[in-house]
Amino acid sequence: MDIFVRDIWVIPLLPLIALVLNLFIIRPLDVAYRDRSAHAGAAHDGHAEHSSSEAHYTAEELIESSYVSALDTIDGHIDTPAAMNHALQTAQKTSGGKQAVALMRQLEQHPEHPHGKPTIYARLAGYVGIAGMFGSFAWAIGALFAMFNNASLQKGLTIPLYNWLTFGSISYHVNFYVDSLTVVMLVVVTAVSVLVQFYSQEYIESEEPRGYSRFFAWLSLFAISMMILTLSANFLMIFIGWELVGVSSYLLIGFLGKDAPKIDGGRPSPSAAALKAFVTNRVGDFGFLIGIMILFAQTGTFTFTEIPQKLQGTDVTLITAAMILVFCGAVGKSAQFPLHVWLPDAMEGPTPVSALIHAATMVAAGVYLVARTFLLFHAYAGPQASMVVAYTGGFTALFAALIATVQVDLKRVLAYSTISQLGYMFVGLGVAGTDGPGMFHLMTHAFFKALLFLGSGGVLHALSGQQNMRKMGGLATKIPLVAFPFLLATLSISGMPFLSGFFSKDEIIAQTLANGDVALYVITVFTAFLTAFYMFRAWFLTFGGKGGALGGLWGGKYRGEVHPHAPGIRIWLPLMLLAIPTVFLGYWGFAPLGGNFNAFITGNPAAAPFGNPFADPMTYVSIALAFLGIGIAWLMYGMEVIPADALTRNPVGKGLHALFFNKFYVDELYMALIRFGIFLFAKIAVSIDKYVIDGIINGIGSGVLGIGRGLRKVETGRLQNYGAAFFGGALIIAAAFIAVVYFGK
Amino acid sequence: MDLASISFLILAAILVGSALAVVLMKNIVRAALFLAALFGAASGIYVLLNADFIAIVQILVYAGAVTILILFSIMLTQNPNSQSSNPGNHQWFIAAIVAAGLCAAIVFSFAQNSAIANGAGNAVTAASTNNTVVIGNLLYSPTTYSYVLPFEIASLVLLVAIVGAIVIGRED
Amino acid sequence: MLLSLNSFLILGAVLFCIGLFGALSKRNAVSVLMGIEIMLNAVNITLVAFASSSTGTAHGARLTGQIFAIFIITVAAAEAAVALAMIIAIYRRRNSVDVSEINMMKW
Repeated sequence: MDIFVRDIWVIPLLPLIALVLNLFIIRPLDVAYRDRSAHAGAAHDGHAEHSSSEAHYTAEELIESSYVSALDTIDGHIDTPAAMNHALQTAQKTSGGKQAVALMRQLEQHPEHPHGKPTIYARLAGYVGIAGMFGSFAWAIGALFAMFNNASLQKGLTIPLYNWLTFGSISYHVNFYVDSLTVVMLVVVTAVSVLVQFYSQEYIESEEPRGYSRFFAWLSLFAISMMILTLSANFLMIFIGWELVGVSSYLLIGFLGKDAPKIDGGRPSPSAAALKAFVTNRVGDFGFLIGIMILFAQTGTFTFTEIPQKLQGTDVTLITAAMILVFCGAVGKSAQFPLHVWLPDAMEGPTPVSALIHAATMVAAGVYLVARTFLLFHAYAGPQASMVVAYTGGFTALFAALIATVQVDLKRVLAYSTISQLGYMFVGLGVAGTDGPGMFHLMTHAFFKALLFLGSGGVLHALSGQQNMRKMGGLATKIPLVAFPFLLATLSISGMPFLSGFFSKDEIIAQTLANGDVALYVITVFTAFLTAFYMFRAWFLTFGGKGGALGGLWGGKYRGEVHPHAPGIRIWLPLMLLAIPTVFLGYWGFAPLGGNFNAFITGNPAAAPFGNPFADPMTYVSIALAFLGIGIAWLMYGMEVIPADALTRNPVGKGLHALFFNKFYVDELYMALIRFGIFLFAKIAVSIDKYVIDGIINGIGSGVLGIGRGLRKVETGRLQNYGAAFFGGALIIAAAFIAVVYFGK
Repeated sequence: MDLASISFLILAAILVGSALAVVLMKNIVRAALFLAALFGAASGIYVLLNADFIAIVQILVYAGAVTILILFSIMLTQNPNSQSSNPGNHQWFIAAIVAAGLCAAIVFSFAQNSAIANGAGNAVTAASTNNTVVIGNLLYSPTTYSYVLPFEIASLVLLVAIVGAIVIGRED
Repeated sequence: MLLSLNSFLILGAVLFCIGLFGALSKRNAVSVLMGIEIMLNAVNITLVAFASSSTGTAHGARLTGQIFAIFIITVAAAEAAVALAMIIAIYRRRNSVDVSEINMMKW
C-alpha cells in the first residue's frame, strides 16, 4: 500500500504521458486528417451545390451584403452546408480576408457540416487524456487509503527527484513532499479533473470541435501543473507550479479565441479575459516572490520543512511581513479582494474549464499555499499575519456575496459565489488553530462548486450558450438530469443540514466564535444567509419559477427563445457522480459518526475533531438564516409573491442595486486608476524620453554619424590606398619592433 | 675581389637600376622592356647562387612568357587619349615614404643581425653538382619524400588559371 | 664579405621595396602588375639565397627554397595570365585601365 505514497510521482507522470501523446502525435494527426476530410467535404459539397439554384441565390445575396452584416445574413439565410461552402468560395474569390474567415468559422460550426464534428483522432486525444487522468485519480485514491492504513505517512514524506543546481553551500532540489494535506488536494484535483475531462467530450464537441484535441492537451497540462504545485516540497517548486497553472489557466480561458460568438453583449472577449487573469495574477505573484525572497534570505533554504527550524530567532516583524507578502500570491490566485476582478471575467472560458480551474482546483491553490505554510503563519509570524488572512477572507466573502445577489449571468453568479466561498476558506485558515476547517471547506466546496459549474454548463449546452438567467426559467422539467444534482449542490452550498457544505461552512463559522472574533462571526453568518438567498435566486430563475411544481421549485415558465435540448450521458453522468461527495463528504468531519478530518489533515491522531454542529446552539442561528435566505428567494422568484423589485423601488435600494450590479465599480476604479496613473507616468516618461534619453541617444547617434562621415573618407574603395595602409601598418610594426629590440635596451 | 663578387655587383646594379627604371619610366613600353632586363639579371643572380634550373626557368617563364604577356596587354589597352602612358597616382609620395621606410627597416635589421651576416656565407659560393636531377627527384619522386602533391595541385592551379583567363578575357 | 647571404637578402629587400613603390603609386594597371612581378622576383631571390646558404643534411633540405621558388614562378605565371585577362576585361568595359578610377571595393 505504501507504494502509492512512495511513488507518488506516478500521478503527474500519467497526465504528462497523455499530454506528450496528445500534443506531439495525436494533435498533428488530428489536424492533418481534418484538412484532408475538409477538402473531401468541400469537393463533395461543391458537387451537390451545382444542382441547387437556391443555394446559389443565397450566396449571391450574401456577396451583396456588407462586411459587417455578413454574419447576420448567414444566420438568416444559409442553412445547408452546401450553400455555406459556396458562399465561402465566392467570398474568398471576391472579397477574401475577413469575410472568408468569418464564414469559415460559421461553416465549420455548422452541425451538418462534415468537419463540424471532431475527427477520430480528436476523440482519441480525449480518450488518452481521460485515461491518463483516471490513472492519476486511481493512484491518488490509493495514496489516500495508504495513509488511512499507515498513519505515520500522514506526517509527511520527502521524495527526492533530483538536484537542480548547487551554488556553493546552497542546493536547489526538485523534490516532492507528500503528507495528508497533499493527498487530500491531489484527490480533489484528480477526481474533479477526470470528471471534467469526461464531461468535456460532449461539451467541447458542440462548442469548439476544431480545438477538441488541443483542449484535452491543455487540460492535461493544467493537471500536471496543479500536481506539481501540490506536490512541491519547497517554495521554488511551488512557484513553478504556480506559474504553470497560471499559464494553463491563460490558455484555457482564451481557448475560444478573440472572436468567439457571443449570445449577448457586454461581455469581454475570451482573449481579453485571459490576459486580465494573467496580469492580475502577476500583481499578486510580485508580492509572493518578494515574500519567498525574504524567507530565503533569512533561512538560506526554500524547503517548507526546513524553514521553520532556521527561522528561530528571526525578527517576528520581518516574518510577518514576509508571510503577508506570500499571502499576496494567494490573494491573486484565489481571487480575493482586491485582486478578485479576474475571476468573473475568466468565466469567458469554456464551462468545464470554469468548473475545473476557476471553481475547484486552481483558485484553491492560494488556500492550499496558506495551509502548506500554516505553521509559519500561526507559530512564527505575528498575529497580524493571521488577522490579515482572516479579514481579507471575511471581507471578500461578504463583498462577493453582495455582488452575487444581483447578477443576471448564471456563470457570473457562480463566479462570485466561488470568490465568496474562497473567502470562507481564508477565514477558516485565519481563525482556526489548524488548517483543518479551511481545507475541509476547500474539499467539499471543490466538489459541489464543480457540480454547480458543470450543471450550469449543462444549462448552457441545452440553451446553445445562453448565460442570461432572464432568458431561462422552468428548466428543471426540461433537463431533470442536470437539475437534480444541481439542486443538491445548491442546497449544499446554502448550508442545508446533513449535506457536506453545511458541515464545512458551519465549522468555520463556529471557529470564528471560538476565536472570540464577533465581527467575523457576524460577517460569515450574514454571508451564509446571502449565499442561501443568491443560490436559490439563481436556482429559481434558471430551473424553477412561477407555475412550477412545489410552489415554483421544480419547473415553471420558460422565458427563452432557444429550444432546450437534453444533454447526453457524458454530461449528466459526471454530475451524478459529483453529487455523491456533495452529499456525503461532509461526514468525514462529523465527530458523532467517527469522522475526524482534523486528525487526518494535521497528521496528529490526538487532534480534536470538529465540534458537533448539532450540539452547538449557535448552529441553529445559521441554519435559521439559511432557511430565511431560501425562503425569501422562494417568495421572490419561486412563487413571485414578493415582486423582484420590491427592495429596489426606493432610491436607497436602487442605489445599492446599482452598486452591487456594477460590482462596487471596482473594475471601473481600477481602470480609472490605471488610466490616471499610467497617463501621468506616461507623460513624465515621455518628457524624460524626449529630452533626456532622446538627447543622449541623438547625441550618440549624431556623434557616431559624424565619426562615420569622417571615417568613410578612408574607405575609398581603391585597392592602392588599402595596400599603402597595409604596408604602412607593417612599417609601423617593424619600426616599433626595431625601436624595442635595438634601441630599447 | 674575385669574379663572382664583381658579377654580383654588376648584376645587383642592373637589377636595382632596371627596377627603378620600371617604376619611374614615363613610357610604359620602355618600362616593360626594362622589366625584361630585370628578369634576365635575376636569372644571373640565380646562376651565381648555383641554382641553374631556376635560372633557366626564370628565363623561360619570366623573360619569355610574362614579358610577352605584359607587352601584349599594353598593346591591347593602349589609350590614345592619355597624355602619358605610365602616370603616377595621388598617393605616390606616401607610397615612396612607405617603401623607403620599409626598405630601411629591413636593411637595418639585416645589418644589425650578425648571425645572418656571418653565419652561412661560404655556402653561397660553394660549388656543387648539377642539382637539376635532385630537384627532379624532389618534385616527382613517388617513393621518397617529395613535393608531388603540391606539384599536381600547381598543375590544377594552372589549369584553372587558363580557364579563368579565357572566361574573363573573352568578349561577350 | 660581399657574397654573403646578407648581400642577397638586402638586394631582395631593395627590389621588393622598389616593386612595392611601383605597385602602390601607379595608375596604369599593367604598371601595377609589373611592380608586383618585381616583388615576386625579389622574394624568389631571397628564397634561392636561403636555399643555397642552407647547411641542412636532411633529404632535399638544401633545395627546399628552390622548390618554393619554382612554385612561386608557376603561380606567378598563372597570376599574370589571369591578371592580364582581367585588365583586358576592365579595359573593354571602361575603356581605361586607370586603377584610381576603380573604387568598387566599398558599398
